[in-house]
Amino acid sequence: MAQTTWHDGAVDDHGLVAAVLAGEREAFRSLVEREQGAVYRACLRILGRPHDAEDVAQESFLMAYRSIGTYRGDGPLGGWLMRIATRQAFRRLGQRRDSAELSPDLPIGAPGGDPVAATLAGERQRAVRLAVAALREPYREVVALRFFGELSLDEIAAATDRPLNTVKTHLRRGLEKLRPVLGSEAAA
Amino acid sequence: MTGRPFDPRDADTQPVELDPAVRELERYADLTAGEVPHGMAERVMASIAEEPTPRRGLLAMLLGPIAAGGGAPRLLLAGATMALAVLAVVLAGRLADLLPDEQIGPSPSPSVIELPSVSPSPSPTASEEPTVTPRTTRSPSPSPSPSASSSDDDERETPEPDETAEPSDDDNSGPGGGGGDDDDNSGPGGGAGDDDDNSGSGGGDGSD
Repeated sequence: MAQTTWHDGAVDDHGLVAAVLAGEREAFRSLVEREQGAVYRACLRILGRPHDAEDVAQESFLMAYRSIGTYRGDGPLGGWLMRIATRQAFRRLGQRRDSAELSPDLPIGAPGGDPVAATLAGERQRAVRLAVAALREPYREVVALRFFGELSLDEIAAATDRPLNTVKTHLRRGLEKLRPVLGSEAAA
Repeated sequence: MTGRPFDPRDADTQPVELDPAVRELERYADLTAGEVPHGMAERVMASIAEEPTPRRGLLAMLLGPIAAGGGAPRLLLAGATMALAVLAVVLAGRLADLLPDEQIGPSPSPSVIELPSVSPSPSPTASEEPTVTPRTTRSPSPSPSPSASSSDDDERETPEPDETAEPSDDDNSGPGGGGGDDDDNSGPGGGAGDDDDNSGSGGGDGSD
């Protein structure tokens, strides 16, 4: 039953999880291929470095594989996985700060021709990352899942096991806290 | 552009209020929408190759079918919860019935014991033993209300203090009343005597 579900075009989360739990590792591959783009981008937006982002994304998939038996199915599997990834990424960011790594982040997606523009773009991106990382929980998690993980509020509510209105409130308060920092950045 | 542009209704707010922060976050997301490194899926699969097959967690095992089933299983769970709650209440009631009555609520018996202490002693001599008025056994009410002593039709009623304040030769009634020749020696503890005042509890054994 599970095999037919995840081998079909539309991958059903429950069938996929059941197949993985039944020992079919290839079922997990379909999950990786489906979610790797979103997971990698979220990690990249939090960490700012492609190498770290790939590293954390791989760790997140490994953690998801180990703990896929705890997935309760009350939300999309992608949201559940994204929550693992953002947590791992913020944890890595904290470790990086603790190690006082001073190498500046390279700008991502900035035009390569003008070094001044690239530097300014890198500073602005860094400011956004730091501003979001400095938020307290649960605001940081909701903002990151919404803007970095690109989850809908319903998906965030299911992934975090919180009511939808609570998620909305957390997002609004998180954005209010970001406005003094990011608003001035945008004006500059 | 991000796959899911921000809608101000998501945060229950006006578009103008949060516009700078949202704009900056979306711009950042646009710039960092990088491509996935080549071969990442293979590397992930290689990393899990040595991992044992995961097991289903207990909570997921319990809640998984309910979450997957939609409305009907949720209703079933709600009904089962309600039935369990009713059963718990019924069992609690049964358990309460099994307990002895003395353990539930105040007992009326101690108030009967305290009754003599609130009724005035008719004897001028103090009685060391608490005088138990027989009326207490007849009283339908366990309440130690002093007003209950004003029952008129009780022959063995505790006399009023003015009846025994001045003992006479004729009337030795009352608790501890002394015995007389032709007198009324009624009363608890009343002794028999000639002319003496045997008032007091445990009257003596008088002789004729």
